[in-house]
Amino acid sequence: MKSKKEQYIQKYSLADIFDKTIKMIKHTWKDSIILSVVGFIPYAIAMGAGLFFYIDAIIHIIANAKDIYGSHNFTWENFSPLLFAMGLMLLAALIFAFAALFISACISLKTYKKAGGKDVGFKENALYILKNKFGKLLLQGLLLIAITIGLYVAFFIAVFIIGLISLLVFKSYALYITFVIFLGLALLGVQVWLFIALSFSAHAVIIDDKSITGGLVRSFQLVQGNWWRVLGYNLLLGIVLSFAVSLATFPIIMIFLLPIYIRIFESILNGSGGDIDFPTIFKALRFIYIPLALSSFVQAIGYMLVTPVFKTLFYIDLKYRKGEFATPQETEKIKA
Amino acid sequence: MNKKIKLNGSFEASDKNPVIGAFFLICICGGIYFLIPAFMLNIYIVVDALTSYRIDTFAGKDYFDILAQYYNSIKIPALLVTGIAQYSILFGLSLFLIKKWHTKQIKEYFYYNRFSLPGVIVGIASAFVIIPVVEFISYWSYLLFPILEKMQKATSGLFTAYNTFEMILLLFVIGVTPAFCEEFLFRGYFQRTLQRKLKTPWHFIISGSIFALFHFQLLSLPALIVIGIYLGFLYYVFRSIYVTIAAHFLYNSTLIILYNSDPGENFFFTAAGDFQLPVVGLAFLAFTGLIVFCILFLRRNKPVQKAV
Repeated sequence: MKSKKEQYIQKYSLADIFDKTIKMIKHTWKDSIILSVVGFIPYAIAMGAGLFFYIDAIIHIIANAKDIYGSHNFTWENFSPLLFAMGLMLLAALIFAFAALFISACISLKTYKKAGGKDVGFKENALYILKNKFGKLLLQGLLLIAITIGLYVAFFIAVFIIGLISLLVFKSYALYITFVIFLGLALLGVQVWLFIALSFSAHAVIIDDKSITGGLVRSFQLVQGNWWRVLGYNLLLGIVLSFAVSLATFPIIMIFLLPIYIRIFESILNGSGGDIDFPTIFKALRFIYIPLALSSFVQAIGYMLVTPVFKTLFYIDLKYRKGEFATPQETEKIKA
Repeated sequence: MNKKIKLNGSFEASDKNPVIGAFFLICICGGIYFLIPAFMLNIYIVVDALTSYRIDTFAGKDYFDILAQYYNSIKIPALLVTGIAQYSILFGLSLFLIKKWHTKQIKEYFYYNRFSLPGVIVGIASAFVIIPVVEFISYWSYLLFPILEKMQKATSGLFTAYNTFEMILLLFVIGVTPAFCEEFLFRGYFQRTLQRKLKTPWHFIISGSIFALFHFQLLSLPALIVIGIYLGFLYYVFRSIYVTIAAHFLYNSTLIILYNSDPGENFFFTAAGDFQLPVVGLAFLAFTGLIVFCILFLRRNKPVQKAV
């Protein structure tokens, strides 16, 4: 009879990885739900409040629209609510990033331990990640953002130089635009390539105790030779999850959206001869924060339930393909 | 004679659960089915708007007139894209994955090799009987929110045929294509796979509900759930995909024909085009009668629960 360890430490086909992901979720779902509820409720509240105040600020600006273009009416009072709303949305994005990073790390470690046949407690696991890994993961995340920004800076410098050459030497806008399009496509290509090549950086830190930069190198090494497979599996996971989550959430979301739509249609109908009553539409939209916050909350839970497990099993698969589980010491290492 | 089907796909290994494969396949095909056609149609809409729309076309018009004009203008491309997507993704892609993940014996697995005459007769009768029932169930939304009726009329351009070509296209894309492709995916594959692992009635309740959710239409959701579960029930009772293909095809086609005809006030319809209440009552009775007949038929020809 096969042991639990042998069930998970293996090479995965597409069918294997889908099947094993669902089987592994049976062991991790409680942790995922508890952590997601704790982490994503503040996110949903901040995002919902941000949306509410954002639309409120737009209504305020529309109400004062006549004065905005006056010489002395471009005032702080008109725009400060908008900035406040944007600040709230930025806060929501930060909470989301922190929560997603922490939850992914906890579930990934739990999955890896379980794959090796070892159970870890919820509290023990979360505390270990918080004390030993979370700081590193945050710094690694910042490094990845810095790399992306670096790419964009390089892109804009290249665009500027090519612009200068095209306009000053060749005096051609067409040449300039052609180069910008090609550079844009190249930037997109490089971004996708990097995103896939570095997609296991966090796993390397969590599972293999790598340093911040060591994690990037490790991910790069593992993905090498499997780049298209990693891209394909990630795309499929994205399609499956987005469809499954939207299938599950759409009735709840639409029930909340229906009264808003109806108010919008009514205000459109009340406008005569094509005149649409925009303030009324925005007033109706003010309550859109409820379905949107709810939907993003449920979506976040759905993604956290599946993605870390799937990616950890994929990490095991990549390690297996590189021959890292060939020795008994390596398999024992997971146990420990 | 009941020949054993060779299940040798990657989701049929002893350590795997084919139901997990079925759920993933539905999500992969569903995700791609909604993603690619929407992308293609949006490109068409943007290009069309940039090349042919003029602002003064809309000047002074009611919003709903503009909406109706818009839906009418995208009708042909929308129908073509939907038809192509159904055949290529819901049928083609799923067939490819089913052969890889489960079996190459599609005919036997999907019950394409069984033709049940009583089943097809019940399927045909069901299509006509269920229309007033479903219309009655859908009517609640208009009673609660009258404005939605106006909205629905604005979007009716998508289902209105102005000439013979458009009528043929509508009947093909909305009548024939879903009957073939959706029945292939939801009854032939999804429900059939669930039937192997889940107890009755859960396989047809789950597959019927997911079929309903798959349409992403909130107001028609209760009616679609009824249709989905009923089609699943017919498939389970008669173990022939031709039953549900016949029912689905006739149901959709009859709706298109009714939509494009004006029968006037008579025994069946009110002046507003809705079904008369006695007709709805009779349809409910007939629907109940069909269900009772199916249960009796099932008792006499009980399928083996776990048989592949």
